[in-house]
Amino acid sequence: MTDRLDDRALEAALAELGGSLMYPPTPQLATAVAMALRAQPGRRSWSFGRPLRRGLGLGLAAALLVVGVAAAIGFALGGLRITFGGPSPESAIPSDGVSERAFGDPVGLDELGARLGFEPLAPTLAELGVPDHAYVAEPPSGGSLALIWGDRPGFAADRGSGIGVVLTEFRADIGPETFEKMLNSGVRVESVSVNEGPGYWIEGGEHFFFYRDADGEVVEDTLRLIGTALVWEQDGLTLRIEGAPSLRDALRIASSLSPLRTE
Amino acid sequence: MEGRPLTDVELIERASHGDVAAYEELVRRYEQLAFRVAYLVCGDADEARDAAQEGFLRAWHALPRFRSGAEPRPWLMQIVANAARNRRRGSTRRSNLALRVAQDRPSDGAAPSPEVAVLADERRRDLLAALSRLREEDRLVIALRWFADLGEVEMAAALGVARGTVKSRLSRAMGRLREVLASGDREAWTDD
Repeated sequence: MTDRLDDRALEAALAELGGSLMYPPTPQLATAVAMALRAQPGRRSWSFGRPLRRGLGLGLAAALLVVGVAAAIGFALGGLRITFGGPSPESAIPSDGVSERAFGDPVGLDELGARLGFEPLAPTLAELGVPDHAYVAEPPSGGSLALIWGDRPGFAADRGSGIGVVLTEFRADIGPETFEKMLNSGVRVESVSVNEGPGYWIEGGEHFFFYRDADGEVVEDTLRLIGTALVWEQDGLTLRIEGAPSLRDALRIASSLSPLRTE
Repeated sequence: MEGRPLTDVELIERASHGDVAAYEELVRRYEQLAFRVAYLVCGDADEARDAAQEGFLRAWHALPRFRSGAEPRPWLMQIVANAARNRRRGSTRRSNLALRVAQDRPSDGAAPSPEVAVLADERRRDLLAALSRLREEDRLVIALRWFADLGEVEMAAALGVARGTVKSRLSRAMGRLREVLASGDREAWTDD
């Protein structure tokens, strides 16, 4: 027996151990990366093959590295742009309560038909029941509807605001980028199919919705800074569910949507 | 040649001209390695996923700086490792790297006898236990070298040190691992 472990034996054992380790499953990074790049406006195309173009390319690359990585990687749904890695939300919504402006004017469910330019949908999920509040905002064209539920079984309300689930709807054919969703560090986006339409599940880190008013000013559109959101397109609408504890729960809500009957 | 899979160098050349599909294929080839490297650095699967994705996106934007004709793997791993290191540094959470040995690992050749398989499994677990007793810095440099099979440049990026420091750090870490193992049951390491 030797007093000192043999170097080669130890290295071989480490290499062998490396091959037998269990790691968490590898996520589908290629798909996510390609999706983000394809959604980018003005995808760059340059060559490093020719010296002159290379010089130009480097200048362009430097600009894109700052602008591109910092702000320009995004996904789009009708009327909604989802943007990665933007600046910190200086216009962050105060955490001490609900901003009425964020949702619009409070309305009764029986008024929705007259106030909206589309047929609203509502979940029929038994746990949620009838929404506690309904708000209509305009712009966008056709209006935007926010249905709000407080604490419900399986859908715990936020302690600060008392709000559990928020379902927002607006027409998907309104101008692009009317609404924006800014994602900051630590946010994960998963491409999902919702009721056979394209959608994204967003969770973790800081993210917030906002839209720009007629003067181009940012107007906060939600009270949530941290939480989950499922956004998707369906029947000519862009819809989002905030506050569901999991993707599965959000999909349960989404699959139960049907035209809102207001008698 | 028709139907021939493109090489990494060809894929990155196409990607540099804006071909997202080529870049997607390149990422697919390295997504597992990138994720595992990021996992070894971050110690958290979610952070590792974010770091690897961020690294690949950054690499796309940095393509004009990529040296034409070079192998893309070290360059990609360097960027991913850097992103992982930055995330780990910015995270308030402590690393909680949980590595486990797979059960019933498939054999390359003839199946070993049950006794040999049990001994091999025990030895792997002992080695992993010894690693877990090392300082985090030592454990990481060993994991990057022997588990992720990274080269010096990639390791330097992952550790945030100069290339010349990698060798000495690895050597010290291996020395400490030997000490830990020697303080336990040495016989299992010197018999074969």
